[in-house]
Amino acid sequence: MKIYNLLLKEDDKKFLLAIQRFNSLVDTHSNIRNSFIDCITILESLFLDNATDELRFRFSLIISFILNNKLKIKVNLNKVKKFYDIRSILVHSGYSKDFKNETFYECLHYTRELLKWYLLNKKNRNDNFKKIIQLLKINS
Amino acid sequence: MSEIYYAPIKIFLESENLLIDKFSIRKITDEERKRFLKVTNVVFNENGNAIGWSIMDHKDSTFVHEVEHRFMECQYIVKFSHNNFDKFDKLILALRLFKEGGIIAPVAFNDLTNSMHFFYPQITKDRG
Repeated sequence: MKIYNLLLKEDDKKFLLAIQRFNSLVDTHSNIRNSFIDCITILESLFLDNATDELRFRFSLIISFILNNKLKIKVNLNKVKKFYDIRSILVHSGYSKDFKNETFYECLHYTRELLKWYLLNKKNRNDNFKKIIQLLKINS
Repeated sequence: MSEIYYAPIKIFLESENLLIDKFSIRKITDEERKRFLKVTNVVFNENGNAIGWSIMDHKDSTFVHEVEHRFMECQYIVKFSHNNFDKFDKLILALRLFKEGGIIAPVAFNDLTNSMHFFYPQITKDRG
């Protein structure tokens, strides 16, 4: 299994931390809202570099771009923005009326696919936001 | 004598056997189910999901008190040697990434010492 072999060789500390977080969030002893927050945190750590501005926009654009163009999973940009907003509201207030269990399960599916993509596309990891978008545009 | 570990696992596979690296994944036998899970009989529905089971008298074992019932649904078992013990968590991670549907494999039983080794997260439901 290719994923298993890549995991054995993996030495990217950022990815290893993210994959540990993923392993924890599937534990049903975790609160489902916290698990949702963890999903977004995983994606943020993997796909946003050290940028400090336009985080919501950058996050939504790059996540939806990879899902749609590389993984052929049709996801609206606004849906990804909504995920990011729900995460922010949950973190800052502990409750979001827009959060449903389905929200988490959908996000979990995307997180799993994006983790796999990240693992399988090592050479693209360290590119910055603009380079990745440029690369994805060329390859799509 | 090399120590062998047996880890019951809840997973859905298309085939009865799977070999990944040095890990052998195959259907759990009735004897193993009885020995490791203390389950003497399992009733499955048409989808292959466990809907009922009989548990042995476990006065001398606290194990069945510590696990959730979903663990009893394990229909496969992973067999591996001590040399591959450190890779087991990577195998489970790979399976969790590869297959949706809640992979459960919280405990490995050491065949030689009869000891149990717990992995994290210990119990998951169908959150995956």
